[in-house]
Amino acid sequence: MSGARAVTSGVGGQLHGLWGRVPKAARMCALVALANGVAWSLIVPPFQVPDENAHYAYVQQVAERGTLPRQTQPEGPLSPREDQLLSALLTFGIVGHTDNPAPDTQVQQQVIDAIVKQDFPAVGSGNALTATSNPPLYYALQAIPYKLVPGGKVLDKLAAMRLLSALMGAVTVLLVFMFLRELLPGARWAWPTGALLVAFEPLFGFISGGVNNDDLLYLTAAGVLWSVARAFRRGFTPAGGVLIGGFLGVGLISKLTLLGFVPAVALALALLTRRAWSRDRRSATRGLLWAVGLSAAPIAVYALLDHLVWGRGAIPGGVGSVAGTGLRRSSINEEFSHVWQLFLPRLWMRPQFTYSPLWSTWFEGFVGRLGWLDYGFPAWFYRAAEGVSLFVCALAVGELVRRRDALRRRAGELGVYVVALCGLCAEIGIESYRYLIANGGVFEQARYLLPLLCLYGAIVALAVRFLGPRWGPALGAVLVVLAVGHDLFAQAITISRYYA
Amino acid sequence: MTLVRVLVATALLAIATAGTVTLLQRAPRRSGTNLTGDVGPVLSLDPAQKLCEPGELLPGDTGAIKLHAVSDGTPTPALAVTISSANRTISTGTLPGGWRQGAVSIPVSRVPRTIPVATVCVSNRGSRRVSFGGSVPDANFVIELAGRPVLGRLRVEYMRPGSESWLQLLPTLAHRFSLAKSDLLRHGEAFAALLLMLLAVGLATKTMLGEDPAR
Repeated sequence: MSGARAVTSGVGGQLHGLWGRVPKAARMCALVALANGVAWSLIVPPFQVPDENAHYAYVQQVAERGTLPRQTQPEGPLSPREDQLLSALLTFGIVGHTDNPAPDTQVQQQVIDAIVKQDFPAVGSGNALTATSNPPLYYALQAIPYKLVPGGKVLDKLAAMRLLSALMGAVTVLLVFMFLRELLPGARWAWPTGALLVAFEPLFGFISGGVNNDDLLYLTAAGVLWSVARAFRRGFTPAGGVLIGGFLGVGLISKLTLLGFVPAVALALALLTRRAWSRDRRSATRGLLWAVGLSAAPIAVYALLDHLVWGRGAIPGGVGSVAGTGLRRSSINEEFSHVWQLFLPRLWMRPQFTYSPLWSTWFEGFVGRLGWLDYGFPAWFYRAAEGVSLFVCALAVGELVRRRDALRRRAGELGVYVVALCGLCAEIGIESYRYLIANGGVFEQARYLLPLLCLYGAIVALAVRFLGPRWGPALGAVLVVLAVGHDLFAQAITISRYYA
Repeated sequence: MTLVRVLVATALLAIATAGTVTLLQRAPRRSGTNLTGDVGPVLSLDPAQKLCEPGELLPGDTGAIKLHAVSDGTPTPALAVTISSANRTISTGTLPGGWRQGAVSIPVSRVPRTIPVATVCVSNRGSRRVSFGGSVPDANFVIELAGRPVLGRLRVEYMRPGSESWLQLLPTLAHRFSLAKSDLLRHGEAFAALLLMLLAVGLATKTMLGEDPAR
């Protein structure tokens, strides 16, 4: 008993020491993100974050049965407790119907109370809908607040789980700050600007306030980029290898979307090892082994357990395993064209979309398409945001051009970030095409690009650095207050959507 | 005072001003809806015909009902609404002819409290056919159209009386905010969200001012 206490106090002490070593501004930015994420969690009605019903069902399966969900044909019901509540909350009368608000009368509340009192079973068919094939780490962590909340009330458990998601959002922002500190060590005042713009990004706040495994994906993606930037700046050591491999390994068993980062990490490890080789071969080798081992071990163990214990197939939900009806035949040329046009201008290719994904899916989505993608800002707002974004990007490009000598010296590191961007886009694009072939539907959403939040913060930080120490902080302050306004506006339209 | 301080103060003031202007905007506000989809003008009433929709949850503080209506021609016909529950008339109202096609608000006598099960009837009192937006067919609902049962449902939005600013609506919004939420925080959620956002903005401001090199 006393041994356990000693270990607990030792871990607590280490965490306290670690927290103390984090710059004060980074801690403040994380607290901002936490407050914003919790506010979002209170504002958005239960189950109005995309697929929150499915993610909750996964956690319920883990917490109640100690197993992972399984595909059932036909797609089975969730637990009666969740299904009955979803029905009482009028969830699917609200999703996609912007004219329909959340329950707004005491009579509806009484219906919900009556459902809660009936204490329906918390065990369903074992199917967690769209979340079924996800890896388990996020859900295993969410089982902690699920279990800690006494009683069986779904809404209480969901509220507690949303708090953990908001905490993950806060750690993500902390890691963005740390990434910027490693990336741009000479521009101290640019770090909080980039981190705060991430903290107040409405789509990020909205997802941070809900139960969705994207929350842990964003955290681990930011961790990967921070640890890579740290190794490029401070040298590649075994500790650096542990960080890179640890974040990637944990990320891969949170959501397989992080597979898109694998080529970038491979490139980073190659460059870092080559650079460290001449100085200290032993240290470089150990760093590499740690990175590779920690990246691969969790996913390997997960695949093994999936196959041997949970009977789910080695990697359900991996690239290329999109379930569906097989309505169309796929072709490699068309797939390339689809992936290209999902992010870039069409050029000579046969059109794959009747709209511009760059604008509609990515830009408008990033600025803010919220709920189950069923509401957003008025059209003028996106145009205004486009103007601000172009201005910020122009300044960032200006900074890169001005510092082209440093850029040339750090071309390898820049290459890693570009490969991370391309890898993630390719991963999303391939899933998008395969989903289209299998289901004839649209897969992609702007939130899938949020693993690149560090790079978003970097663009902002570069832009303010371009103006130098006299005008840069002023621009940074303006951008942060604009981001505050953007976030508050998003919360206002959310309140109007669900409660007015 | 540094440039950053001036800019932050000015920008926050601009946000506060925009927020205040928004809060003071007056418009008709909703008391509820019947959560029915509007696939277009699918429920038609000839002159002197009546449509009755049972099983409506009539929210308290209703002073008008809003329908999507189109007429065969102009002038558009007069419309009458009767709301009843347990064979008692709860509220009535009329809209004179000549309304503009589209969203039509028919004022009714104020319903102070929520009625869990009400029947809403709409009558065409003009000489032209009128069609209303709703969902047809809808196997879950039966309405009465000109005395005959029809599988479908009229889309109804219940409106509060007159026009209100968001500021006036705040107590109602705070109440709605507390519904269908966790018991852990139910009655303090709106206040907690407001407090958290103030905290976030305050901390962000402090961070930016703390990192200002000209400080």
